[in-house]
Amino acid sequence: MIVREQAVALKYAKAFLNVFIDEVSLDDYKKITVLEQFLKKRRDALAFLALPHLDSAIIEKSLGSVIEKFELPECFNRLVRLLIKGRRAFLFSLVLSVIAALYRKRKKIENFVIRSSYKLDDSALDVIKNFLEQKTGTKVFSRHELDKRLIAGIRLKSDHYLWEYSVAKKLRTLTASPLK
Amino acid sequence: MSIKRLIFISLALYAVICVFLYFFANPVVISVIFRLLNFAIMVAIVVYVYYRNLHPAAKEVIHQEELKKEALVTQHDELLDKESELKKKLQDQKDECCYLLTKIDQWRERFDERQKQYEDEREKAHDRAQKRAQLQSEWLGRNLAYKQIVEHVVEIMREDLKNRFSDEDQQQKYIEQLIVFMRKNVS
Repeated sequence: MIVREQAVALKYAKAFLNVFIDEVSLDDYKKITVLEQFLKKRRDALAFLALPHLDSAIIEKSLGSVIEKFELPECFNRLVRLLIKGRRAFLFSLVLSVIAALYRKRKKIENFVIRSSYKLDDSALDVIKNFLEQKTGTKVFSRHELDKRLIAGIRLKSDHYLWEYSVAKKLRTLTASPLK
Repeated sequence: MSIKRLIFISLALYAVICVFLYFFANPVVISVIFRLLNFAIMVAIVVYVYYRNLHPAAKEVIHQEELKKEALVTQHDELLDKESELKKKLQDQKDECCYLLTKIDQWRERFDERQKQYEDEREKAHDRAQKRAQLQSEWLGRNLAYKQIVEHVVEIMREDLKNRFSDEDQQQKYIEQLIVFMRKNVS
């Protein structure tokens, strides 16, 4: 069932991006990711959409207010109307996350999580971002987190890439090294 | 000459003799001659009866006996042939048997050699397997010890490094080195 929902969501997302990809800017993409994160953390926020006898006007109004609140472009309202028409409004969250993933793929964007053992300033983050953009050949969006488990060092991770230089990694390598 | 003609000639001859004797011979001679004639007639009758009644049966019996004899002779010859044939066959079989016995001896020798080879190879394989198992167990033991030691050492190192990098300056220096490395790698 989940696989089928994924397939349907993928179709909606592909169709949406085929039509509106030029209307969605990088700022809009950031807003989409914020909403995606918000909905991931609050999975029950849109649970009412799965109710069978809910009036479509109410659904449209509530989702419209969400879109307005997170300042998403107008084209998302059309997506919502299309989902409601096909009685698949409950797929909104899933379609949104697939749209974000497809947008990243089409616009060559990588979302990196930068973990470091020490708090990095903005200039250091810029250097890391430039380093990643040059090495991966993509546009990099990053999020910084403090991770004391690294002991000392930096770990850069996205959906497709991983770069790490830390004391923890060296210790891991040492532990995993076989007897010669 | 048929028997009828013979009887006729005999009777004619008898009549001629009777006439001759009646006119020219004395009674003694006549009685001797008639005795001889009677004896001859008796002999002729016996011969006639024999040839008439007894001769074909005896001839048949003799013929049968002769046939039997011939058959027995033929059988005897055949048996002699068979005997010689069987003797020849026996000799051939004896030769073949000798040849096969030689072959069996050769095969047995080869088989013994091969068995010995197999035994040697099996022993070698067994030795190799034992050595390998011994090496594996030694290696596993060493590896286990190595892992335990490494884990222990890594834990000690981890604690030591944590203490060392608990100092903010050390952390900053380490990160700065990395940032410098990244900056250098960005054209």
